[in-house]
Amino acid sequence: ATPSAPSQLLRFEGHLHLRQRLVLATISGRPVRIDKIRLADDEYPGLADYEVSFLRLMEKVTNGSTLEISYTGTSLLYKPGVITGGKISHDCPNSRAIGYFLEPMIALAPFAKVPFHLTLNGITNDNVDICVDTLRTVTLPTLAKFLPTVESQIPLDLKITKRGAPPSGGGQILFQCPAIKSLKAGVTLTDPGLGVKRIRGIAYATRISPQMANRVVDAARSLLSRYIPDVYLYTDVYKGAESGKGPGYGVSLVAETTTSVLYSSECAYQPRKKAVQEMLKEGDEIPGLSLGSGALDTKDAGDADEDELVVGAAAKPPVSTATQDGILGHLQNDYTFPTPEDLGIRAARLLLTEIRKGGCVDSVSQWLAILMLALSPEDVGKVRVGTLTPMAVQYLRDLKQFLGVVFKIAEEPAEDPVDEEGNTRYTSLKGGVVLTCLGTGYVNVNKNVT
Amino acid sequence: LEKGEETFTAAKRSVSLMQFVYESDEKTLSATETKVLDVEDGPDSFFKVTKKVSTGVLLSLALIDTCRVEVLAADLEEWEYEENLDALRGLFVTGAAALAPNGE
Repeated sequence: ATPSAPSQLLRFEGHLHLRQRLVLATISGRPVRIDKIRLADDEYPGLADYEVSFLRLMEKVTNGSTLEISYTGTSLLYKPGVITGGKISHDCPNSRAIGYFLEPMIALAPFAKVPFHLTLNGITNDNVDICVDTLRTVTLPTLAKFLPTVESQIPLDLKITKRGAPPSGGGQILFQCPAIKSLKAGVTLTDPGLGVKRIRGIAYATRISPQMANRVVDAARSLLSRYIPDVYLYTDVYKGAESGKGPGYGVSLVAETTTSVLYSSECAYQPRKKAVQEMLKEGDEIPGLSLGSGALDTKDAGDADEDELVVGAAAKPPVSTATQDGILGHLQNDYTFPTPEDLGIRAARLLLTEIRKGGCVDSVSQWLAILMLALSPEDVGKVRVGTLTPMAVQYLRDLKQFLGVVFKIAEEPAEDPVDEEGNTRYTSLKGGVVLTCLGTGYVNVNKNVT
Repeated sequence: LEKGEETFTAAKRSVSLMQFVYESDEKTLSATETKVLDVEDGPDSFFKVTKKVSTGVLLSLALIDTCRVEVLAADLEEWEYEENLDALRGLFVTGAAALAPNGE
């Protein structure tokens, strides 16, 4: 379908993808109405507390926005205003981590009137949302590849002033971003390089013995150092007021290739999942899961039409990735970890899985690269991803709705050799899916001219 | 002929990918509630509301809206085997090769 007129109201249904739709509405200046938000949920209908908190944050970072929420909270109408930026502080609820709120702000910040100085308080690391370490070491460098060099401005930076482990939080971060007029033109990210040349990581511990972080590091290093010697994993132990409100520990790993492509993984100790684990074992109904039952009832991967569902060279069916694996994964994965070594090994294995996918953009940053390509000046931009994530696919669809941008999506499977036993020998990070688009030539008219 | 067949297959798959992203039914990928809501009452049914509270913890995984792709613990068990670990060695570079972006 062709995109409608810029001022025309766009309508969506459901609570999923709320953040990206509000971000795209703000950037494109188009009003959006979202209906049927958890309408079928008798227990918790309407917007969740963290979604309301995010809406409040959107009001803080913009000027002139109007937001109307229905009495039941199942419908909202958002008319975007101007992205103002400046010094903003926001308390995130403990139901979601800071990453949930910071991700959309990273997309909005370059297009603000004045540079962003955003302070967020809450949970810094958990296993649902992307942690602040990965945002700092992977997402921000990805954004930087699309930003022009601007002198005499504040740097693009994320400082973690306090750690906050679930469930109590108490962490704090400061995000700074310069305001730009327009993005770089014709950014091409298609060469992942020869291979991974170094691995870095940071293991943190708050209100718990520093030995936990050391043990996590030792375990992760034991697996990763078999590939390359350049593996440095640091420990970051917080004490006193900087350590948040509760005990916790975790690790964030980053692998860098010869062309500075970054792959990441993360894992955090999370005691609160235990309740879910117990419910699963007992076979009880999970509160609110009825909303997702449609997804769980979808046909199995084996029954699906292969041509329709394969995404990426080594992809599993996205239906499975988006819903079944995602939901069941959160239910089945036990993040309580009997020992710190288990946590470290899991993070290292996740990193190997991410490296095997290849591409030039990490899974958690795909959406950002796609968005920036669409907003870049009117030139052809290109990015190679290992496997399209469900969020990236939804971004592609929403970008078509809001901006009328359609990407050319071409699959380029890597030609890795197979040994005599039938096992694939991975020799190249290339392959995957190449996304190409013509930028919309988005110009930040909000930016102050000094 | 074989090469031509491969090209045809690749083209077919890439077209399917475009169709998948832009033209297929969105319900198959993302909209977990739309399918349920098709048979429900209209929006804003005041009388259906029982209570509205903050959950405090994220028990409902249907609420998840995150960029992370969850990997099952069972899927990571493949890394327990040496042959799987060794298969990745070609994706790492050391020494002088690590200094040059393209190995030149």
